[in-house]
Amino acid sequence: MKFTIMLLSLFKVLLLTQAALCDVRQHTLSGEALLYKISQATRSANPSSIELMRYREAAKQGEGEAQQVLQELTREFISSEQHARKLRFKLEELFHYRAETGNKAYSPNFLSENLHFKFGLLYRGVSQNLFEDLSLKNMSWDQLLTANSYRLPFESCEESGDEGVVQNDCNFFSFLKPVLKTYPNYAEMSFPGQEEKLAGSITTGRFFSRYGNTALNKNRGRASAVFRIFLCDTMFAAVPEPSADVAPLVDLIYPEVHEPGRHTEEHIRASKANDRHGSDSSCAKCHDKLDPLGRVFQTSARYLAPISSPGRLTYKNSRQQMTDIPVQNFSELAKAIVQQPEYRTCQVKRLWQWYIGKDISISEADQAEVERKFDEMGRRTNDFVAYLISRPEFKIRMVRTPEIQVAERALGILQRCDSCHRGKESNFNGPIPSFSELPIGGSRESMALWIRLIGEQLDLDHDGVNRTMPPSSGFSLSASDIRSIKMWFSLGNPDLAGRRMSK
Amino acid sequence: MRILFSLFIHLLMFGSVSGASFSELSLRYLPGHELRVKLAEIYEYQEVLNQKYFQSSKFPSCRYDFSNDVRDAVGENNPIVGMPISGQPGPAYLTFIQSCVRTFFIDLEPPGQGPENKIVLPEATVNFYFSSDLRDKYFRDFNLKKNSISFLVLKAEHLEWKSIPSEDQRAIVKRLIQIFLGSDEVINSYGIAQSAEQIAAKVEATLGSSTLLGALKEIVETLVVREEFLSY
Repeated sequence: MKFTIMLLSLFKVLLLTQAALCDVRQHTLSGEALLYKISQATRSANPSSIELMRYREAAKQGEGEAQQVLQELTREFISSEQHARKLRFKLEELFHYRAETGNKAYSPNFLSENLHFKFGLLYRGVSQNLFEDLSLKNMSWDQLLTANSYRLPFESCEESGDEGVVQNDCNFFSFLKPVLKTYPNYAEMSFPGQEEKLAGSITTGRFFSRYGNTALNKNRGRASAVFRIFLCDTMFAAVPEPSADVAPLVDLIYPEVHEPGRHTEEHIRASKANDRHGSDSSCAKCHDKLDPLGRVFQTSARYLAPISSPGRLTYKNSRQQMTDIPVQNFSELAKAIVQQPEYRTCQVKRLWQWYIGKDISISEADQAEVERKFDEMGRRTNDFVAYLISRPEFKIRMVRTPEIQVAERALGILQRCDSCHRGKESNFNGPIPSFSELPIGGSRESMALWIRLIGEQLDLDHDGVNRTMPPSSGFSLSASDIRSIKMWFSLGNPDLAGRRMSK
Repeated sequence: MRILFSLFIHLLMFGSVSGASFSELSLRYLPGHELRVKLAEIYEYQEVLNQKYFQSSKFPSCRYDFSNDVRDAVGENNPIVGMPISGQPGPAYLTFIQSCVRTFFIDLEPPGQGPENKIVLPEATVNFYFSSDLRDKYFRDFNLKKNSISFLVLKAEHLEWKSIPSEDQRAIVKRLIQIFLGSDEVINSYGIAQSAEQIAAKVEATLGSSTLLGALKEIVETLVVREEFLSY
């Protein structure tokens, strides 16, 4: 009995200690710990012994000297080839492809990378060069979309004999610049008089081959990637409910089959009433954006065509107003996108997540301040990265609590609800807000309302047995998904930093 | 009683250990490709050795390509869903790291017995694992040079790990902790261990190898699966 009481007492002490530990969810780094984090965040490597000695010597002289050396080392890390490579890795993950040109499997054995290139096993293509040049040349981040010149490797042009089999950069640009084969190694490749056909990363062979096109797809995959990468607009396919009448399905798949050649805006607009893409709201929500933008790619099925194709940048912006900009070519599209406030917010948030962390939330005021800095610095990549690293939020090392893990899971599920609900009219003040951005609706009061509605719609009290959402035609929720959301509710709807957002 | 005890053990084991996902968190695990970069920076000297002496630049255990399943295990973003399949490192992740790091031990395999039937190691390798005083204590110059790589030889014919004085053992372990994890200040910032001394005691307690070279491998394999190495 005594042993049990002792154990219970110990258990209580442990629980209290644990509770105290749970409250301490972050460490603020300084000194060498901060130097290590900067080095790893920018280069994936520890500081070298020489760099460490340099910092320690400065630290001996005083705090000011240590800070100065830390700033110098930060700039050196950010300007390094390792940082350019790390940034390329991140962009490759964002674009969902490896940036080497050609169909060769990616070889991670970077120690012999040069040998691989030397023997033609890998192709260092324009896409890869562009990704790395953003940092190596401290280019404007916008150049990822607006660049109209590329660095092209001569080797890939030499390999272009099997045209039509292996798509490399020389094949891709051959309509625009047939004399590519005369270029020396890694030449700057510009297109005087034809700049309107180029738009950085989205007019590279690698982008085209990754996001292939078919008669059925009509460049929507490419348009979707542009929306996702540059405007943070993630779209999920809405599958229409099956019907015994196959005619609407045929119309959906082959909307132009009966009247081929309907390519003009008027024809496309006129056909919308009969086209399920336009008449079914669940389809139209995305197709109203995808189809106009996809038409910019229309003439360039596999290679970049000498003839531009007009299209439109059409979407509902963050103020719930329609943005509808006609564009004549890729260049105009790129310029239109980078001028959008949504683009700036999207890119700043992404860089914040890459260098500071998704779990370190940012207030609206700080977001505005960071975006202002982004513009003030001419959106130059390395300058902005250095700024992010200098912010106090970078110095935080977050401990990942169970609340955070549950929040990640639940918000990931709710993000799927956003794909249909976000921006739609509601019975309350304003449109339906994003369920995955906390607090939902921007305030605790609004969050309480929407949390109650979500709980009711999902019938969380009965483990989702009588839930009315998602509809049968949409995505389905598994029992595990329901359990995750229920647990998130029971923990007080914590955000990604583990903070309770509800009572 | 049994439940209480199991709760107690659970708290002891998992209570204070923080986890992290591969994704974009302030405490994040290194995905596979970044891990290779970090290992290569640590073993910088080895590139020279491999190119000039061993004539091998291949690290098959660290290799994986775009379509390889191991990409999911090592925490890279899955191109279909745009995020890692697994939220946290699992056994496959640790297995990959340990098999990968073993390929960096190639120069701990003596290229052959010297004429005096003693173990010889490249000088750069010895300098990596031993501080200068320990190097002088246990190794001497050896008249062996291949492709500009100098070799040193162990003074003792057979050196058992247990025959090394405990203070020297601790110095070797702490040196490797310094290389792989960082100083006490860095270690402490993770909130898991307070110092290199504390980690060294734990590492030494689990060593099972009898030989010096075997122990060096074991130490490194233990260090590379620690939070302080895998996350930042």
